[in-house]
Amino acid sequence: MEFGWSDDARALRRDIQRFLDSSLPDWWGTPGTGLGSIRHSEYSKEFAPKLAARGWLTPHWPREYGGADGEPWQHFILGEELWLRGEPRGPQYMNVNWIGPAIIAFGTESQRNQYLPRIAGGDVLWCQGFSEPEAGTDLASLRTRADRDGDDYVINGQKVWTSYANVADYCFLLARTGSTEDRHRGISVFLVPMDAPGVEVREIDAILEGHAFHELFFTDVRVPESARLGEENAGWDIVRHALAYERVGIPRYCRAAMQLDQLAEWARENGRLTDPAVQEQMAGGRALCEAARLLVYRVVDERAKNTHVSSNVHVARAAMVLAERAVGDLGLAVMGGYAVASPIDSQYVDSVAAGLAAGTYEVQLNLIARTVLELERR
Amino acid sequence: MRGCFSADEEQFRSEVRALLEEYRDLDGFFDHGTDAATRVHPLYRALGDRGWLSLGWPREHGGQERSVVYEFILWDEMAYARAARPPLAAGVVAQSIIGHGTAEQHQRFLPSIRSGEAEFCLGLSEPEAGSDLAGVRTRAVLDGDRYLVTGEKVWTSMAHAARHIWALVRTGDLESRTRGLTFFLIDLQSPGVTIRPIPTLDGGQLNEVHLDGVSVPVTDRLGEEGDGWRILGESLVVERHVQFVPGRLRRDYDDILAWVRSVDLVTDPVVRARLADLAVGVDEVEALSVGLLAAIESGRTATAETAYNKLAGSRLSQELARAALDFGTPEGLVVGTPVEFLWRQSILETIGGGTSEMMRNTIARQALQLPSSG
Amino acid sequence: MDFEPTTEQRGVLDALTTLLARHAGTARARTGAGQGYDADLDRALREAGFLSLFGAEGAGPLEAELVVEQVARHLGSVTIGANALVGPALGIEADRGPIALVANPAVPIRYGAEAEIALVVQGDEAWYYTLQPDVVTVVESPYGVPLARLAPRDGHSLGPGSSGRMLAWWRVAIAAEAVGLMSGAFALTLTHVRGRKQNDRTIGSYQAVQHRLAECEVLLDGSRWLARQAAWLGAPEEESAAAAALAVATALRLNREVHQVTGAIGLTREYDLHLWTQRLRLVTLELSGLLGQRRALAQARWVHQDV
Repeated sequence: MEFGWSDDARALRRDIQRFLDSSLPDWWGTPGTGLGSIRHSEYSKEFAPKLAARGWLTPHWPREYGGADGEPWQHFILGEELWLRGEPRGPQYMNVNWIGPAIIAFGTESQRNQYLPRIAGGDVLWCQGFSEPEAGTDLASLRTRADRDGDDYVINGQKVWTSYANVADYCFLLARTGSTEDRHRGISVFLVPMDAPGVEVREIDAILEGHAFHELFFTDVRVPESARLGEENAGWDIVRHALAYERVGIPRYCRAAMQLDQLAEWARENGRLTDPAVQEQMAGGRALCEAARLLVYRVVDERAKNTHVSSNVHVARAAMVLAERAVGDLGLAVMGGYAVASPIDSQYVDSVAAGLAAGTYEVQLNLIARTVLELERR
Repeated sequence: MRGCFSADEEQFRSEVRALLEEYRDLDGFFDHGTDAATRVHPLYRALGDRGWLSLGWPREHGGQERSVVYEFILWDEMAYARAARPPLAAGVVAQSIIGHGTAEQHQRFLPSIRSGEAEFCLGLSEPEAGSDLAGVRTRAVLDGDRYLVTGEKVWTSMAHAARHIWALVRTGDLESRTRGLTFFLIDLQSPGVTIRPIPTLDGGQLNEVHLDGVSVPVTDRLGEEGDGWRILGESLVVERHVQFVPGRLRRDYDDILAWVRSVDLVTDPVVRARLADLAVGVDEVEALSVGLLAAIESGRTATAETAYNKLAGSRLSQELARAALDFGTPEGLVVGTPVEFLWRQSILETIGGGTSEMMRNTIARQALQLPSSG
Repeated sequence: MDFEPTTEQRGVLDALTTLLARHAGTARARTGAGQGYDADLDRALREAGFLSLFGAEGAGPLEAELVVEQVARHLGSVTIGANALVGPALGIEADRGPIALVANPAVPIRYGAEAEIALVVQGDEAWYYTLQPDVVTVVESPYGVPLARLAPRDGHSLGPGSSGRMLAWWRVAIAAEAVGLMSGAFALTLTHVRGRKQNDRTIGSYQAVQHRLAECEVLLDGSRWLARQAAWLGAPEEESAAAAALAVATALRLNREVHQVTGAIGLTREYDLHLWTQRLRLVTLELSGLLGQRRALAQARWVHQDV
């Protein structure tokens, strides 16, 4: 047990910070240009290749696929620093966190050759086609179908709440190849080009400022068998494996903690920092952010040691949601009307979304109850 | 709650206050631990003398047929004075005897309940049946003109001071669940009754009542065999307007405020913000109480309103206690201070009289019309 | 970063568990030894070296913190936080007797009457006092732990700045004891909800119960790691306050929830739950309680940094 950083880790952090100071553009951080906006996504194709050139895009990948066999910690530290600055990798954080690794683990040699170099190079965008109107938390009831037709599959159905669909080159799609009764056993993964005939994208009018959500429609979209990742009907296991760590893939606590520090600055400038009521609320938020950080680190530590994914990942995710919510709430309480259209206000909306993304907060609590507390399922 | 009540009702409130002046020594009823039942007895007698234990009873049974508002005002003032809670006998027990008892039972029990003389305790919970009363296992077996009753009732308040227990007992088999239940009015001085105190964290006591082949005459059965669940259901609404009266919260708040002033915390912004929240909370529970009264007056069962009232009231009582502890003064540690007292008197509130979970379920089903999870 | 205990740490904890099985636990907490100060447990811990891990070769403050957690969890009736963490951090030799910690003379102190030494925060300095019986006023305690007020005389200062060090380690001790006590109360509660059936199902199978206990688990786990981190880092002002702030907030929440799901059973003195929760309440009130811990964190993070 120890809680310190190695010299290498500290140096890496410093180097990334310097790099970010010198490379982010002037418009960075202005309203409406955050993660999920078109400008942000497009910029990632400029930014990620620079990271790649420094060996910072896929350091944790195997060498043969453009990585450096690096430690999970190195990639995680990169993730913290980048997320703190608004995630300039844009949608590509998904590419490097789990889409690429899924292709490495489950793809054919030709799929690896086709997709991985571009991901490692930093100029390709993916979106994730999971949720459907009737399959949100209950993903096993998804209905989008992929039917065999000769050597091809024909895909029909609808996906929803899809981020980055407006800019993506490919979709990592879950579709039903078995019957509905097969539930999770009848699902396969397809790597579908977004410019395939029959793919249609509609933006959803939503309250996440600048971050666009989409509906994706598939009408007789024809893909070759080679677009299927892994075995037919093995999609569920692929996704579970690929996303095992994604619940803590975004270090959300560090931005919440940064927002708190900025809130403290605001409070100081406005003579509110000496108000004990303000201090009390802010400290409550700070303690939760710190707890979330350590609980996420525990998961990274397990990953670094190659132990199997434990239920600690749910504890860590739930802790992040609690921290983000606390900061979102108290920010509004402390700033009052000054919070309108401020980053604190966005933090509030982010905290609402945090409880829904990557498995709802309630699902995390269910899993904790069952796996950690050993309480029986109804 | 000013402005909500008629001139007659306010007049009644003044009478209650005048009476309470004579019983100031009872202030802190909940603080008298195992002794509370004895100490409050003279006050119950005084209420009985004035006919105030039977305000809502039918006239033919010696009542006044007054609206629920009068009972509410009475127990709200009693709560503010921390003098007494409604005696169990005059509420659910009396109502069930009036509704289901024989003429002989009316004669035998009602006059002494009305006068404040008779004390009952409620024999509902058992070790295996807390929130789930359909699981009651205490059994009564008919043997000629008597029943032999065997089983165990737990968490029974006041059993050590009561003469009778209003007991829910199984007369059918266990699988009959709600159908095989029957009420008995069992004399606690009968052979075979053992009462064992359970000391509680609040300094008071609950009791285990062991019934070992207790012989109970058929004439002490309330209603017919199998009527138990229906009587229980009816009883739940009898005291809905006095189950959680806001006067007690108003008093908690006033005590905290006085204490905060006495220890010079009143200028602390955190303390002030908390007090403001709590003051709004007290107003909120008062408003819920008035809404509940209005619903009952209009003839509704008001199941959801009752649950709102209990849930919000019991939660606030704990928030009040918690706030005082959070202010972090030494008083939290010292027995007998207002801060320590508030904690002690609030710990049972979200469990006794129907847990908060049951209240939330009721609200979800009745008011929000959400489906039951089965 | 490494969240796995080392072999040495496992060894310490295993040995401690064996010792506590003999000298602590629920049954003992109800006896005379457990109701007052448990001199036997104190002696056993000292002789086995558990009170001198803070400065020991091959061990340190983290190991001492782990000991505090475990002793609290097993209801050891000793001044474990003060003697294993705070005293050693201020250079008090491990062979001295039980230590009472004082920040406000008005506040009743745990084991005030049984302690031999008092460490007192006086402005910028911590003061050391050897306690005489005539400076002690015993206060009635329903918490399962004796309380007394102290008005100590004839002490000496431990030097400028020593009070900051004392407060920081005291906060780590509060966090560690709270974590230990919460762990004990929570474990018993889980056993209860797994076994207790109402309406033909265990109450632990109700989602409303599961979600609340799962949140408690998250907060408890977070408190545990913050306490350990603070000890490992040597009790910096900010990290110590963060550990105490979260542990105390969690304790207030968890105490409420474990009693609620245990129902009336948990309010009786014959059931064991109160052995943990009543002690826990005392710990949460130290150093001005939740507000005190949070203010200390805010000061450390956002106010002191500018000066």
